Amino acid sequence: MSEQRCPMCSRPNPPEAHECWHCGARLTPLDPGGSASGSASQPGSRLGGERQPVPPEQDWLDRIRAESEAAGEPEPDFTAEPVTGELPSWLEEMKPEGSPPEAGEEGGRVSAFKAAGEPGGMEAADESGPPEWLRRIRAREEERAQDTGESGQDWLSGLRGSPGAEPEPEDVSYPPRPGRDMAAPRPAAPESRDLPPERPRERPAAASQEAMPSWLRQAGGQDAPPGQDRAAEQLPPSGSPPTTPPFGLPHVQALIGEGGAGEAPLGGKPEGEVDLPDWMDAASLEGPAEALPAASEGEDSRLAPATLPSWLEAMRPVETFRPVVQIQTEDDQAVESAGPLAGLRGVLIAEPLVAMPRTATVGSMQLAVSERQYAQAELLHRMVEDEEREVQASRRARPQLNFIRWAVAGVLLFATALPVLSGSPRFSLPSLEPRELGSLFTLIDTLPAERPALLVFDYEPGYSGELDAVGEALIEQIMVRGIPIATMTTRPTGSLLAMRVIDRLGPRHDYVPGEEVVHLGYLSGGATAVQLFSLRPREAILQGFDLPEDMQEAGITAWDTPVLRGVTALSDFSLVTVITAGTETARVWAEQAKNYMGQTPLVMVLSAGAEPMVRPYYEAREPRVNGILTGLPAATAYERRMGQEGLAAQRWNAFGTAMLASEFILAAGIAYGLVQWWMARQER
Amino acid sequence: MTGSAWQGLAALAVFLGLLLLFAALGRRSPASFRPIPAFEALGRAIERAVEAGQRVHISLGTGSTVGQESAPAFAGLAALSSIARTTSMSDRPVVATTGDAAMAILARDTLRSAYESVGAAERYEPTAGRLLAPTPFSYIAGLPLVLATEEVAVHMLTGSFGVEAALAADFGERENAFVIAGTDDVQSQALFFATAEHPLIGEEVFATGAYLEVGGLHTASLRTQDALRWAIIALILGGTLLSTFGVLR
Amino acid sequence: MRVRLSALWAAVALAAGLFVLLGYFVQLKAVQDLRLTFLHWAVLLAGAALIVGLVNLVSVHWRKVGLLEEGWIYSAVLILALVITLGLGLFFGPDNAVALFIFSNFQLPVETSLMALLAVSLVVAGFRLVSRRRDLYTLIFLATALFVMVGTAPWPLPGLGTFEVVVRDLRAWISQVWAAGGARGILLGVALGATATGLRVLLGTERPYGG
Repeated sequence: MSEQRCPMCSRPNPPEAHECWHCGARLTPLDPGGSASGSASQPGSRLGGERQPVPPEQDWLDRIRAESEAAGEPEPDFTAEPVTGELPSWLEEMKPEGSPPEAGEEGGRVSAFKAAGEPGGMEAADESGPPEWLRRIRAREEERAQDTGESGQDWLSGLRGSPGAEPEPEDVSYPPRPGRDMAAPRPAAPESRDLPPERPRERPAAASQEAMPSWLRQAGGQDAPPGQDRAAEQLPPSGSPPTTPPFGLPHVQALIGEGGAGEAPLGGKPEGEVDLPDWMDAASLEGPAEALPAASEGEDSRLAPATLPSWLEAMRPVETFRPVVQIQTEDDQAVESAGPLAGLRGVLIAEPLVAMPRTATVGSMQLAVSERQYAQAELLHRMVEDEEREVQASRRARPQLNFIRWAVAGVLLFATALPVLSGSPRFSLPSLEPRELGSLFTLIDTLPAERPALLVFDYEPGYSGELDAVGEALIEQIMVRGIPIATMTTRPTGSLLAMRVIDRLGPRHDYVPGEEVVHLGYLSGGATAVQLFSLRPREAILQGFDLPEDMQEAGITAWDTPVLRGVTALSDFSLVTVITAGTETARVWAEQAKNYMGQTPLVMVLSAGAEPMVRPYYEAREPRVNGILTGLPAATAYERRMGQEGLAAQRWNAFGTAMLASEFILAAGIAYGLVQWWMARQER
Repeated sequence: MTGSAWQGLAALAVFLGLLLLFAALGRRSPASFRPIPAFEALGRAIERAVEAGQRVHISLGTGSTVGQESAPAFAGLAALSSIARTTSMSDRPVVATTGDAAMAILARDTLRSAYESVGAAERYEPTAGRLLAPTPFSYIAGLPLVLATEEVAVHMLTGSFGVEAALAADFGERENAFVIAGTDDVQSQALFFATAEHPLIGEEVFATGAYLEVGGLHTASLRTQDALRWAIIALILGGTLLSTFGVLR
Repeated sequence: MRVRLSALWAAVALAAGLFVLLGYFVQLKAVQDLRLTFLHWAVLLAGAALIVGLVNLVSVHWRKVGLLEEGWIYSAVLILALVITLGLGLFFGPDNAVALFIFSNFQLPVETSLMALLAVSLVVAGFRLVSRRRDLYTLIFLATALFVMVGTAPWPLPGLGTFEVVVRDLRAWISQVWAAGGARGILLGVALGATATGLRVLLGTERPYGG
């Protein structure tokens, strides 16, 4: 017989070995019947008074039945309800001492798994030895063995079909459980196994056909359909060594289904003999190489030999720690005292394998890890570490000095300051006047001097550089004419702007606050306030702003001053002038207030940018704006017409140089952009 | 009522009728508007800002809540509502600043409603809608601090501005923020064209709600405006021709 | 309850808006008086809103100072200036020389400086515009701006009277015809947009007041 390969480590072992010499794994399966059975299986057990159909898988039951028949024992009556206390003879034989066998409700269930005290269960803590029925079975086996001339061979060897080739049965003992009065666990070592002598060494070929359970057959590669004759299955003969799988992977002999499948007895089984499924057949573990061709040629398909993938092969422990399970004799076997298996003998001890900490006695597991896997593991480790690492907030880079911005600012500042500081260059005042300048001048010149003019300072302090100069040109003419002036604003800072302008111009023309000029103050509400003021001016503004102290103390309001004494509506003013930089404000006054002004002219003093929006109101067929004065050039021309040099003329040179500088910078920017575009095009 | 009053009422009725008609036709006949690159880029910029943990800043302008200058600010409020819902779970939710106190109150109300609508009421902060300063130039003076300290990545100007708005856009450009600017003032629009990365010219600022898909009525409004614009063009051209040939005096 | 409250606010807004709008068209005294009353209330509310806005402004900056956030020093200066100005204004009055002093020596220079900064920023933006955005519209924009500046600024070269006249007339033509025409077209569109926005508010579909 050829050497047998260990199912765990795939190393060769002598054919007679029961345990692997390298890793200690069992090479031959344990006998389930002799070690675990408390009470024999109960073929034909009844359930609720009705006989359950015996599944064909219970070949061992059939075998026992067959043996009984062969021995002339009447077949147990499976149809009738067993009378209480009256058991079939076969059951009588098998019932343990002292405990009446009861027809369990567990049809066919191995009573070894029944707890103590359950019907049919093992007696608890029975240390007196194997039950009577087991002894009888064993005795029968021994007789049969003697009759057949086989000796010294266990039933597994008999199942292998190679008589005389079996070694002495080894004594298998379970490592005792801690806490029991047992010796310390013995190291796993292959020992001779003392198998129950009643195990047949071989299955008689003429034994009645006891079909294996189909699931066992199929697992063993034998596709015996259920209900078939339970012909003994013949062990496939040992074949040639298995060929190397096409993928070059190491061959691992299947635990079931290969040539070493258990040798089914040909027709009937000896009495008491248990027909093992193929996967438990020790012969299936032999000569793995021989099994393959048999499997391939066998009429019954078996499981194809397993081919381990590389990653699984890499995980195969080189030296496996496996506690050697040594099956002790029944007398030496401890009886389980706790748990669901209480009362049973030969229960596999779980704690040493599962619960109890232990150190490996045979080396440590070594994983075969490739370089690539190392690199990937390292990468993963780094990624996980990076997630936990706190990234320091990077400081925002300081903005670089914008050279162009500073250069432009410097050029413009120089251009504006140069005429002021040095007096040159000097630009000639514009010789050309806007078309509307003449009509505006005439309009102001023909205003009635007894009615006050309303000046609305609706611009922000930021625009005061331009609008102060443009507005003062018009205000100067009004003051020259001696027309009383009232100021108001719809902006919070407008009153202060008005104060500045009037305080600068008033003393020149002997305008006394409260007598010739009065400030109405701030009117909040924006466009809504303009509407309200246009409707009822005296109700919109009640008090006034910056009135002389004596008037304030006398409780005189702005409407009571000589300036506004006769004014009750917007149309009572001789002129309404709106000084603004915003087109929206100009439009609001032009659209909202003009309706309530009657014949009073509306004049707009605007920033140069607002002119396009307001000019249509001036040039309309029914103009809503009667005069406009836009920008520094128009204000300069106005001053020249008046023959005076005001703020506009003073700022004309600086205005000119700054505008020239801006023009040159813009032209340079256009040229620079075009050159860039042209060069990019050339590169393409 | 005077004749002009009747004309005004009639024009209003036509406007309202068209608005309701387009609102009803909305789903059956979906509108297709010309692409405005500024709005397309805005969506992407907001996504990038949210992913980068940066903020969107909406400036509602310096105009008041009354008069025509409130209209672009209301368009900004619609955009604020939409963007607030989008960025409600962002590390740095949207911030709205304004130069008018009443508009600041409306901004806070809009933000609160937006957060409540997405079930993030606890993330609403009253300081997210704030009055920066009561006057236009002081508002502009306060903007650089907001842009620099609030990690602003998207700087959206939708409201009524004066010429000082060019500074507002320039400040955003200096912070390398995505700048989109729109207003009703023509002068300011010209300045935005020079200073802002994505200017909204003309009445594109009023299309904000439709392009950001705020609601069906915004789309209907835009379709109504388009229809009436064509009608006005036809009237102007027809009147010009008739005046030229002496038919109309 | 919240749904009902929002419906109440919407109803109030709708009613107020409709009455004010009707007041522009209907000349009934009752309607006109009601419109005026609402306008008065709007002015009062604008003033009250200014106080609320100032409180909000102070709270924002106070929080910044309290948490020592980035830029807290500017917030501290703002709060200090606000307190000082408010105190002086309340004590001396808004038309006092002290208020005028603060306005003339702080606010006015700051705002005019910002205006100067605007001029620099615009020139820089104009310089970079062609490099950033190379298209026909940009070239037309810059060319127009340059031409208008040349036509507005003092004439640098004396003795070219006819040429100056041509340039100034051309500048006026561009400004008063092309720019004004384009601006009026934009204003028409803006008016349509504003009308649509107002109608959406009146219909209650757009509720900037919350709910």
